[in-house]
Amino acid sequence: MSELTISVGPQHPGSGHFRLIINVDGDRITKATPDPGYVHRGVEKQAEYREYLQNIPLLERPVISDSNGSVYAYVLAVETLAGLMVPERGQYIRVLMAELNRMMSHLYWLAIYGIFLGHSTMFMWPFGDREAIIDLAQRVAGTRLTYSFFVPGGVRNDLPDGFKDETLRAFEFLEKRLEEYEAIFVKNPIFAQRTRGVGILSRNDATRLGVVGPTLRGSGIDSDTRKDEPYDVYDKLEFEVPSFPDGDCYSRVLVRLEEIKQSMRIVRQAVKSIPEGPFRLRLPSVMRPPAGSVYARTEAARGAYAYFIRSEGEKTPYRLKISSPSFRNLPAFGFLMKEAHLADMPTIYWSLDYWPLEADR
Amino acid sequence: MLIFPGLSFALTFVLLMVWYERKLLAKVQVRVGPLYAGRFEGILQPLADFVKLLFKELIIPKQADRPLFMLAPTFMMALSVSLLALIPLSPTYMIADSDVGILIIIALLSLSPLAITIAAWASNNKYSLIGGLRALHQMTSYAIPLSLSILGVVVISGSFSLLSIVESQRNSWFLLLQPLGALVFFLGALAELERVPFDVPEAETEIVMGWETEYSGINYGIIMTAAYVKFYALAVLFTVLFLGGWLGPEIVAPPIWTIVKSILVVTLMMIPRGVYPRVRIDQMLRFGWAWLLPLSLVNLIMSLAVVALLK
Amino acid sequence: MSASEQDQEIAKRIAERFPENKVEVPSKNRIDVDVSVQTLTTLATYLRDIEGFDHVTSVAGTDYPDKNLMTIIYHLSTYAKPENRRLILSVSASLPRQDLTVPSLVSIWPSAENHERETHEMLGITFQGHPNSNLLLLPEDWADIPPLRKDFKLRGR
Repeated sequence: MSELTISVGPQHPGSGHFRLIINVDGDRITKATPDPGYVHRGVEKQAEYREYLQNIPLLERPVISDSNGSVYAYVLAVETLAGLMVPERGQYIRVLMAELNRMMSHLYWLAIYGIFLGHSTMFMWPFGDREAIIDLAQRVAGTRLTYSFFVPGGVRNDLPDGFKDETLRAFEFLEKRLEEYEAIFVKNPIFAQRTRGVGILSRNDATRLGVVGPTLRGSGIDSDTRKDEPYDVYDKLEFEVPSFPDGDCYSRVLVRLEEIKQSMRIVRQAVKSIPEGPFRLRLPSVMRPPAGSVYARTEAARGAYAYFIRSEGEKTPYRLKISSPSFRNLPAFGFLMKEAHLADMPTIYWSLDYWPLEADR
Repeated sequence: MLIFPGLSFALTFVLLMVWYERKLLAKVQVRVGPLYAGRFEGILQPLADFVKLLFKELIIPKQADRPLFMLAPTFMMALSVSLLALIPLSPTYMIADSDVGILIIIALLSLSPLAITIAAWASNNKYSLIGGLRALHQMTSYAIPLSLSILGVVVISGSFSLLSIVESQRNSWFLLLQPLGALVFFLGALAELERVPFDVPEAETEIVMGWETEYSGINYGIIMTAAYVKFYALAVLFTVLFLGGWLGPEIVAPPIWTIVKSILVVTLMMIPRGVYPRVRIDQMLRFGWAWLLPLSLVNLIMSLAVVALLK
Repeated sequence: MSASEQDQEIAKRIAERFPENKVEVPSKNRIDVDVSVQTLTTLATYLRDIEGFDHVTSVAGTDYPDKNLMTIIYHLSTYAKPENRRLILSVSASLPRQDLTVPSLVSIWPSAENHERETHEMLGITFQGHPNSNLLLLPEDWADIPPLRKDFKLRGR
C-alpha cells in the first residue's frame, strides 16, 4: 500500500483548532507538517489600536486556560516602560494568582491527555478537581477563567477575608488527589508503555529548535524564567524547577505533575508571608509611557511568554510583539513525529501542550 | 423459545447492560451517569438513545459502495444473533444443541473480521480504511489464542457439545482446572469485542471512529446492538465453559444461575474501561503473538497430557 | 563580577569585534546591537559560536512609514550557559522600504524558521535563503497587503 496523506484537520476529535498534515506508510508516519493559522485573529495588530489598559482583556483571551500567564509579561513590560514600582502586596497577589493558573492549566492538560489516550477516567478526575482551584480564583477575581485582574501597577482587588484558610484546605484535598493520580495514571502499566521512549527530544535538539516550557525541562535543560530572570517576588520564595533527562513523553508528564506540587508550595508560602499594605499604584487610566522599547518575559504554564513593546509616547503602543510558547514549540511537531507510529501522534502532540489560539494569536 | 433465551430476552438484556455499564463507569469516575430517562435512575436511557438513532438521517457518502455499505451492519447483526442460538442458558431453555456446537461458535467468531473489513472498505474513507485494517489485524491475531483456549476445555470434557461440557463440570468448575485457559479466553474476548484496553480500531483521537466513521443513524444503532449482543453471547459462553453454566444449588431455577454468573463476567469485562488507556496496535499484536499464543498452547498441551495420564 | 559588569564585558567584546556597529546595555539583562544588513550574517555566526547564544526567542519587525524604513529585531538567548540565561540580546537592522530583503538566519539558528516566515507574511520582508515562504498564519487566499504594515488600516477603528 502506498503512502496515504491524512489531514488530522480542524474537524477531528483529536486536533483542536489546528491541522496536521500527515503522510503515513502503513503504520509509520513519514512526514508531519503542522498547519497553524485557523484561529489567527490579528491580536498584535489590534493591540496597536487600543490603549494600554484596554489591551489587557484583549491579550488574556488567546490563552484562556492560563490567562494570567499571558498578561503578566505585558503588565511587567508596561511597568518597565513607565518606570513603575509595584507595591509588595500587589506583587505577592500576582505571584499567587499566576501559580493558581499554572495548576489549573496543568490539570486541564492532564485531563485532555486522558482523552487522547482513550482513558476516560483520566479525563473526569482532574477536570473535577480543577474546580477546587477555579473556586479559589473566583473568590479573588470574580470570574472563573479570564480575570482582567492584573493591571500595570498591581492588581485590581485585594484578597478576600478567609482566603488563606480556604486555600490551605483546598490544597490538602488536592494533595491527596495527586497521590491517587500517581497511583492510577502515572504508574498505570499501559500508560507507561504508551509514553515511555516515545517522542524523544534530546538536549541538543531541544536547544537547536528553541523549545520552551515543560517540553524543554523534560529534555534535561532546567531553564525556567522564574529562576533565570526572577520577576516580582519569585526570588524571595523557595521552590524547585523540575527537570528530567529522558526527553520522552513520560518525562514531560512527570515534569508537569511535579510543577503542580511546586506551585502549591509557592502559594502556601505566599499566603503565609504576604505583607499588609497597598496592592495597586494609583495611575491615570490613559497611560502614556515615554518613548522606548522593552522586552519582558515570564514563565506561563506552557513556557516562556515574552512581549516586545515599542512605544512612541502615545496612548496606544506603536508595536506589540508577542512571543508565545506554543508558537515556539511548533518545530518540535515535524521533528518528533517523523518515523513514529500513527498511534503515537496524539501522544506526542499533547505532550507538547500546544494551544492553537496562543500560537496563532 | 423466541422469548426467553431468544432474541427478545437478549435485546432486553442488552439494553440493561448498556445502562449498567454507564452507571458503573460513572461511579468510578465520580459522576452520576444516566438519571432522568425513566423513573428509576435513568433506566430507559439506552432505549431513548436507540429511538433517537431511529430518527436520525441515514447519511451514505456518495463515493461509498452502497450495497456493501448497507450489507455490513446486517451481516454483523446476523453473526451475533446466530451465536445466541447455539449457547444454551440451561437444558430446558435452549434453542439448538449440536454435537459440534463449539466448532460452529469458533467458526462464527472468525467471520467477524470479514464483516468489519466489508464495512471499512465500502466506506471509501481513509480513516475507515486504517481502522478496518487495525480491526482485521487485531481480531485475526486474537482469534487463534481464543480458539485454542476453547480447545483446552474440549479436551478436558471430551466433547464438542456445550451441554456435555457443563455436565462435566459437576465435580469442579473448569476455571479451577484451566486457569490459564480462562485468562486467555477473557483477554481474547476483550479483543474480539474491541473493548478497552483493546479498542484500537476505534481510536477516537487518531482516526475519528475507525471503521464506524461513516455510519450514522440506525446503521450505527445496528452495529452497536450487534456488538453488545456479541458481548452478551461471549459472557454467557465464558460462564458455560469455565464457570459451570447453570450448575448450582437448587434454590433457584438453573437459568437464573447462568444469568447471575454472566452478570459477574460482564462486570469484570466492563471494569478495564475505567482503569486503562488504550494500547498501541504494535504493542497489542506483540502481546497477542508473543504471550497469549504460547500460553494457550501450553494450556492445550498440559490438558492433553493430563487427560492421557488419567486414562 | 556582578551581573551588570558581565553584560558590559560582553558588550565590549562585541563592540571590539564589530566596531562600526552600535552596542549598548540599555537596562538590566539586556544588550542591544544595531547592525547593517551586510554584517548581519557574520555577527550572527560570531554570536552563536563565540558568545554561545544558541536560539532565537522571537523576531519582531516594525514598520516606520514616516522614516521610510522597517526595522527587524532578532531576540537571542542561550540555554547552554546557565549563567547567561538571564540575558536577552537584541540584534536590530534597518531596511529601506523600497528594498526589503535581508539574508535569512535559518542556517545559523534553525529556531528562527517559523518566526521569519511569520514576519515575511505580516510585513512583506523577504528573507533570502529561507526554505519555506508559504503563508503560515494568514489564510491561503490572502489577497491584501501584509497586515502589520501601517498602511493596512483595521476597519471600524
